[in-house]
Amino acid sequence: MPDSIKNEKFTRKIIYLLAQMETMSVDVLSGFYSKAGFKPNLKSWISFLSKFVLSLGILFIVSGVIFFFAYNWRELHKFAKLSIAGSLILIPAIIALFSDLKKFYAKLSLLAVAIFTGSLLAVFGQIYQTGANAYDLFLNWAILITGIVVISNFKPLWFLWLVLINISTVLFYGQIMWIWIDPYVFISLFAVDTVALLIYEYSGFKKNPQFESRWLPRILGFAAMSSMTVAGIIGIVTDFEEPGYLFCLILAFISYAGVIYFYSRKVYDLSLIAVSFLCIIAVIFTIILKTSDFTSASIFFNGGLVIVVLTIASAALLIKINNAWKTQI
Amino acid sequence: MKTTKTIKNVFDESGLSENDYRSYSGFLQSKLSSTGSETNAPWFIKIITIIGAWFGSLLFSGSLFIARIVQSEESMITLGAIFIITGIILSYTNKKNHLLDSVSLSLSILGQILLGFGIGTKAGGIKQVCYAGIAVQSIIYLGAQSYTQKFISVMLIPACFLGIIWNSTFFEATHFLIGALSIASVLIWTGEITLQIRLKKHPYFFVPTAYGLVLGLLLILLISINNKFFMVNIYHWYITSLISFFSLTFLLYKSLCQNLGLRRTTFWLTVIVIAVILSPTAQTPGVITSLMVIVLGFAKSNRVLLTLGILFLAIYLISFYYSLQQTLLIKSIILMSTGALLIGIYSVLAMIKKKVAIT
Repeated sequence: MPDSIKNEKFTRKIIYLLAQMETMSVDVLSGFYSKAGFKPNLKSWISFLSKFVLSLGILFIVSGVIFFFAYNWRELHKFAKLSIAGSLILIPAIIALFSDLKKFYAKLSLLAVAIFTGSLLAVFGQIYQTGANAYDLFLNWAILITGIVVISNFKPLWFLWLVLINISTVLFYGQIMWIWIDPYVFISLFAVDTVALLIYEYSGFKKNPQFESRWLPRILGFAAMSSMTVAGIIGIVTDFEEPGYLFCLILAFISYAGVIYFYSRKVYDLSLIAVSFLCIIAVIFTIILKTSDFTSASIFFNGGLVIVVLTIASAALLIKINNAWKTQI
Repeated sequence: MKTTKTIKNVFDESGLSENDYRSYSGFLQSKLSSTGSETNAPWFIKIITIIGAWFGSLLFSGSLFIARIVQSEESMITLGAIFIITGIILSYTNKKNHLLDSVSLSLSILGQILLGFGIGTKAGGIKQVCYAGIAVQSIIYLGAQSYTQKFISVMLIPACFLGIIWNSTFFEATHFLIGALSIASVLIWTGEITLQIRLKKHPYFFVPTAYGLVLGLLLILLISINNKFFMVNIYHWYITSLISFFSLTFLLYKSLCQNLGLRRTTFWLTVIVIAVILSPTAQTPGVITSLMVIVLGFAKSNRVLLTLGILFLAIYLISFYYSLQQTLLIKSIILMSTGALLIGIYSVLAMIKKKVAIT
């Protein structure tokens, strides 16, 4: 077998390519299809269904509880309210405590504990009218579940934690500093997401199998780059009245360069490079709009032309990176 | 779910003769080395192409209107037709190099916008635009050598049919349109291998049609979320649910009975359990259809379908509970009991899993 294709994954694309052979028959292709693992066996079906119904079941119960708290049950004594909220944490916590944490249901129980912690804090705030801001709620929620998140080794839980940190960051500036749209808000979000992304990629780079899946770093990379892109675009539109936006724009370009370098040379992930290209197109398009002062009619034609040309260039570069990576492996 | 085997692994395990081994790997090598071909392009590139072409064509159409290049209906129709034909012709470069795909898609979208406006203002009705839309999309679907153009056409043809149905007196036919999409989605994916062999001379058809049908089906069902947003009121959504349920049953039969040899009684028991659990959502066909797509995604080990199904299931479940005419307390009780029921099913499945592991 030629070296160039020996290590190529047997994906669906390969099936479709083989189907184009003159001599290919349904039986041979079906054989490849089964051998490649595209036909799940009974065990996989049961395992998939178990995970699916369990996840859905826990999600239903959690949302049912949230609806229950949203319902204004004045008749209930505050002690009863707190007891319900507390026991809701206790049940999944006990399940997790006496289970192997590697099991899927144990991880889901920890996720339930983390979500119910938030509802307990909300009920507490509602009963005692503590006067705390939403910022306090989200930050304390994130702090309280940190231990669970660390021991769980469950990516959805890490995702929840990162969402809470992001929300706390925005609310800190909004409710404590009284600034909502500001370079510091964007820079802080960028810092949080970038640090998380770097830790993830570093661990993945060290061949840690728990960091193989790509959905979390993709979301983090997207969040980091888009925060800087939005800030940069605001800066361009407002003529950099706030000098911080210029810094954001510089950071944006540094992050694009970093992403393109890292994901084309070190870890292969074309999706984040594609996102960085889209961000670059958005920034360049805004610069062109700004230079024509948003008034000229030719802006539509020039803008369209620029977008199409940049799209072609991006596609060409992505293909080049893809091919270069393939020859490397 | 994730394919971990390489081409070499699969070929080695298949026990091929030396001749076959050589001819298959030689063929694959020649196909995979044509790096400019659209078939080999990662899907991110297609997404970028669609986004770029969409914004580009919107801006181009704006410039045409502002510069008063298109003033009369005739000029809009003529220019629209020219752009569409140019888009189709340019798409033929995709076989070797698909860099011009965004230009051809841009021209195609621009042409469709102009043609739509032109016919709409000339004929003075949306129905005529939809008739023309079906004709134009069919031409693009049959003529263009581009995944993206065919993919968009597959989704727009049912949308045009919907426009015609909604501008007539028989708008309950919507159920049969969606039902047809549901059946077509299952049939095309269950016949994936056979279709691939039959369409070996036309490799540009299967992928955009199969994915376009599923996405079109899930998107078109959004109209079932809230009737108040739309101009017509459709009440008998259970018809759509029923057709989707039959499609799901057929899919399960194919996957569990035909492929895995599951006993008929077990199969029908599974179908009855699913029917009972899903019966309260009969008026929200999106729920059962999304479930069907999830099952399709798993049965075909296709992560794109699985992700789409999960995403739309979340949307339709939220809309289902949101539109329930009950107090929050009743809603919460329903949610918690459904959750408990599902966890009960999980325990039953855990027992079956143990049994399967033993045997």
